[in-house]
Parts: sequence; structure tokens; C-alpha cells
Amino acid sequence: MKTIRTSALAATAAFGLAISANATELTIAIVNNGHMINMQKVAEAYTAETGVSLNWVALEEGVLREQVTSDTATGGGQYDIINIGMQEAPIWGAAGWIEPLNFGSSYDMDDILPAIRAGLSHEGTMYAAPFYGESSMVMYRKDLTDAAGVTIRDSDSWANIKGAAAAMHNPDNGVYGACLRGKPGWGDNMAFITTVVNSFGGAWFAADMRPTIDTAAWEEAINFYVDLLGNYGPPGSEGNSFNEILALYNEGKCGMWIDATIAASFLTVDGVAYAQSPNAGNPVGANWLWAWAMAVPAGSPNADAAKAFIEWATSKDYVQAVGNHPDFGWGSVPTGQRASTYALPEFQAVAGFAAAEMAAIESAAPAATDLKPYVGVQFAAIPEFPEVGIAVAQEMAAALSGAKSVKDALAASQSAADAIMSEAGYY
Amino acid sequence: MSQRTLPRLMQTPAVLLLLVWMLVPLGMTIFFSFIRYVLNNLRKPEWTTPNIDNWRGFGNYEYVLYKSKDFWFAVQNSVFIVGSIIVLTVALGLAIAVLINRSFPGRGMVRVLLISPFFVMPAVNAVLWINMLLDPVLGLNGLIVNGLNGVIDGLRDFPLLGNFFSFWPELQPISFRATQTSAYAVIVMVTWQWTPFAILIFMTSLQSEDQQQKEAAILDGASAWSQFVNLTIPHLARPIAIVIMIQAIFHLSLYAEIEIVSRGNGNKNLPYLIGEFASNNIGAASATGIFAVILANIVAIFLLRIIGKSLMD
Repeated sequence: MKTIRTSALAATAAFGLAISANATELTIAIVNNGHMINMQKVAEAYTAETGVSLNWVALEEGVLREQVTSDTATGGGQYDIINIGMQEAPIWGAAGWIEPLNFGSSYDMDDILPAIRAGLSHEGTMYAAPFYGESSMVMYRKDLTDAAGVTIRDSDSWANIKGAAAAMHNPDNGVYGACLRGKPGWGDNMAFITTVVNSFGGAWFAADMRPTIDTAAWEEAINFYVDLLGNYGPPGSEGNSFNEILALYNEGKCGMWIDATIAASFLTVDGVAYAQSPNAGNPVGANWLWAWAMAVPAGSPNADAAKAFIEWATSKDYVQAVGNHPDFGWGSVPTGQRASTYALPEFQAVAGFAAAEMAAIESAAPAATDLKPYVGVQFAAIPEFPEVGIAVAQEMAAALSGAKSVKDALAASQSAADAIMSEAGYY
Repeated sequence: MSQRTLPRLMQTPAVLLLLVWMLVPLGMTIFFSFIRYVLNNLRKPEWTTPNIDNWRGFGNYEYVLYKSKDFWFAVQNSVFIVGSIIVLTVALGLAIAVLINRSFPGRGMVRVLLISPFFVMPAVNAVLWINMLLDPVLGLNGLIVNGLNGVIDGLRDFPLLGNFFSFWPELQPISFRATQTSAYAVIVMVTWQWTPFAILIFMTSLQSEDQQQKEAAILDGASAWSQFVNLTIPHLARPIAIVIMIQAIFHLSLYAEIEIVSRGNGNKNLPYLIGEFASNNIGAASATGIFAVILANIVAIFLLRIIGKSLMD
């Protein structure tokens, strides 16, 4: 007995030594959606190869944001790698909270879709590497449009979209013309509403960063949104965001849905067709742009190991690893990050939405322009945006359910946004 | 050493620990509420560290009171939600407790079932109600309204009777996530969860009710209602006070239900408002926190005045 114990101890000690020679443990905070959860399994191969052990903390989107923001802002150092989005990456890079990322030539930086790369950079330096990206597009039921005798084209006019929704709308049979986001949240209803506003020529802020929510463009856009969703949407739309609408759509209750391109890989009903988002003729476009990316908090003691892991997890090899993984396959590879992913024949074979998705991402324009003097499409990349976005989101939900008129809701939004921006010292 | 010193000394560590536990966070909150403190600001990076140099006096309080959008709405909602829940749970709890106080077959089973909602976690309770019961399309709410519409549609085909039903309007399901209704959704689900607590407390105290007094009242010809009002209610004064106090304390800090129902749209209370500020503006969040402490104290004083007597008697 004693000898067994001693030899076991010796073995453990030897094993421990062998590992501690290059043992690194990385703590990674990730958002709990499908692609990221799959990564935990795919990365077992990375641990086997390099000996770096990975410690995953999977959190719900809102909780992740809170945790990671306060941890990074106060230099808490809980995590070696954090999952952040496009709203945070450029701001945090500018604030020096996260490390710039420079990878070797085998990483092929130029393969990353330019729009995505621009959205994750500050002054030309990339601060977070995209794990997957998305834009928005129209996902409609071809069988229903055919039956109703209407067509939906790429970058259609909003009037046509409304006509198609009206033609498909048949609540007695449980089919609603258009299912759109209404749940208040800067990443929920405001993501969609902002793209509508953009396409009508509106923007969140003027060049001096004063909010411009009381403009005619906003009023026209919101009137249109309330009219479309109120008349041809499912009841209770003010509670619907991505997951709720996905459930409705897969129950066959929606004629069309304009939302994240990533939704296409979760649709289980037959006869879905895709079209580029409608536009009212504005060059900012009506596509949103989002990416979940990985970044390294400044001052992490394991920064080098963390960067090496990110380089692997956002590489072409990772896409291959998921595609060839016995548990996943080509239908589950992360998309929207690299041009090379869309060129893979194995991927093209299983993803009918691939072409529409890539076109949508490529046409999204996150950079600041005269029309929209801030970075970001469906958000503004400033630290105060979540606060402004939430305040406006609730007003828009009130307008949608008829608790307030569109005019009143916009006036309240404008004064709330104005208070937040002046409180933050912009003017 | 006097007789009192030793016990006091032995209490000291616990009291000190409690004081530190309470005073340090409270002190920090008060400090933050008087300075500029935000998590991130590109224009004024100096505001991102809590520092006495960023002193702004009552500026945060002013901002919360006069400039931010929802402060008074949140105060109103806090009081409305807590008040409604207390009234409903006490009324329902009393009625059900009296009902199951007599013996009938299966009483033990019924009691267990009645109490079980209390053991459901708040977030689960909210998800269950808002998605499975109150959802206007896929939930019970939507299914029932759809079913009724179907029945009315069928009735229209009847001769004579059909004329009457053709005037019947098509029913629309109510959305409980809307600005106008979301506070009621929160009240309904918390009432469902907390009525069992009231039942439990009332049921146990009903068992100590003086039966001889009741028999005397029956002999005197008192009706069931006057027995209830003149004997049962006074007997339950103390448990009612306890139920109201505990619920007031708990429900002033409701958060999970509000987040899940509508993210503060239409049902925002003070804790939720604090959460919204805390996404960036810690100074404003702290000032709102101080207001929440004040509100809790007002409610506590008010309650103690009104019902504290029945506890002291």
C-alpha cells in the first residue's frame, strides 16, 4: 500500500513538473451562444497540442458585458481573454484597456472582411480579433410571397416591404406579415430601428455629438416602423427580440423577418429565401454590422499565451477544425469573419445563406461619414451609447405599444440623450 | 469586571463585523454619489478613477432628480408595485388560509400544493409566466383568446343567434410586455409566488385561534362574516403585520422579474434604475442608491407607525 502511494506521488510530482515547465492557464470569458460554446470542445485539441489549459467562463450577453466592463475598467484582472463586441472594441482600444493585436503573416490579416476589421480597430490598429461576424438581411417565406403574388427584391424600397407584409398578413391563420424586434435594449430593438433610421437618412448624433433624435428623418423612420410592426406584426412585438422571433418564425408564424444574418443557420422551416435589407436610398445603408471578437485586457500576466490562443481561435485552421470535428461539421463553422470561409466548397454546400450573408457584411459601412459622424452602424462607438440606447429603446417600445405618440417618444428620447451627453462632458 | 462587560465584549466582534459589512459599502456609495465617477469616458479620462478631486457636490443628485428621464416614474413604480403586491397577497392569503383551515379529505396534499410556488426561483417564475402563460401568441393567453375567437366565429353561422354574435368584436390578446401592462405582469407573478408565504404564516396562526370564543360567538348567533371580522382578523393582526413588513423589505428590491418581463419598460423601479446608471455612470447610480435608501426608510417608518403597534402590544 505504502509503495503504491509513494510511486503515485512520485508520478504526480513528475507529471506536475513536466506540465509546470510550460504550464499556463488562461481564463476566458465568453458569451453563451452556439459558436462560442462549441469552441470549448474544439479547443480541447489546442490544449492537447500546446499544454495550455483553458478555463472557460460562459456568461449571458448582458451579464458578460457588465462583468467584463467593470473588471477591465478597474483593472481587476480576472480574465486573460475576453469576448467583446464591435461597440466596445474601438473604445476600449482607445482607452488603452485592451492590447493591440499583431499576428504573423500566416494569420493572413487581409483575409478578414474589411468592414469587420475596420469595426474592431482604432486608428488602424486591430484591438480585437473577430470570432464570427454578422450583418442583417431579409429572411422571407418564398411560399407565402408566391401565394400572395408579391416579390421581395434585394435592397427593396420600404414601401414594397410594407406591401409584401400586408399581402402575407393573415392573423386568422396565425401568420403575421413582418416579425421585427421590439424588445427594448440598445442591442435589441435599437439595432433594427437604427438601421431603419440610417436608411431614412437619420443619425444618432451630429458632428458636435449633440443628439439628433428629434429630426424629421427619425420621425419618418419611427412612424414607418410603428406602422409596419403595429399593423402587420405579431401581437406583443414589444417583447420580441432575436430569440423570441426565432421561435415564432420556426413555428411558421412570420412572413418575413429582418434580423441578424446568423439567424439563417437556425431556421428550420421550409421555403426560406434571403434578400438584402431594404433601403430608403441612403448611402449609410440599412445593414447592420456586428462581430463577437476576442481581446486581451491590458496588463494580463499571460498576454503572450492569450494572444497565441486568439491567433489560433480566429484563424483559418480553426474553421477547418470545426468543419472536420466529429461533433460539429461544416454547418456549424463560425461565419462572417473571413473571406476564405465563404470560398470553402464544403461550407458552400451546406449554407444556402452564404452569398447573401457575405454581401450584407461587405456592404455595411461602420466608418464615420458626414451623414453619420461616429463609428458604428446600428450603434455609436462611444462609452455613453449603451445608456443613451437603453433610454431611447424604452421610448420606442412605448411608441410601438401605443402608450405614447411617436412625436412624444422622440421628444423624450432627445431630452434623455441630451442629458446623458451633456452629463458626460461632451458640451 | 461588571456583569455587563463580559457579554458586551463577547458581542463586539460580531457587532464590529456587521458594522464594517454595512458601513463600508454605505460609505463608499455616499462618497461616489458626491464625485464624478464613470467607468469610461474618452473626453474626461480623469473621471474614470474615484478621486476626491472630482468632487461635484450635489451634482449627481441634481442630475438624477431633474435631468435624467425616469427617476420619479421609478419611485412611483416602486411604491405601486410593492403596495399592490402586499394588498393582493394579504387578501388572497387570508381567504385561502381560512378556506383550508377546516378539515377535508386531502387537506395535507392541498396545503403542500398551495405552498409550492414559494419554492420556485424568482427568475424561473418570471420566465414561466411571461413566456408560457402571458405570451400573446405562443402562451396560454394567446391560445385562449384564439380559441374564444374560433368559438365566436362558429357561433356566427347559427341562425338568429348568429346575428347577435356578428356584432361581437374580434378579441385581441393583451401583451403583458407593453409599457401600459408590464407593471401588472410583475405584480401578478410576484403575487403568485408570495401568496403561499402569507398562507403559510396565516395558516399556522389560525391553528392557535381560541375555539371556545368561536363557539360562544356561534351560540350568540354571530354570522360567519362577523366571526371573521371580529375574531379572526384581530387574532391575525400580528401575522399580517409580519407579512406586510417582510414583503415590503423584499419587494422594494425587485429586479429579476422586471428584467425578464420588459427590461424596465413601463415597470422600472429604483433598483432597476440604479442598474441602468451603473452601466457607465457610477456617480449617478450611487446617488440613486442613496435615494433608494431614503425611500426604504420612509416606507419602514410609515409601516412601523401603522402596524408596529400590533407588534408591540
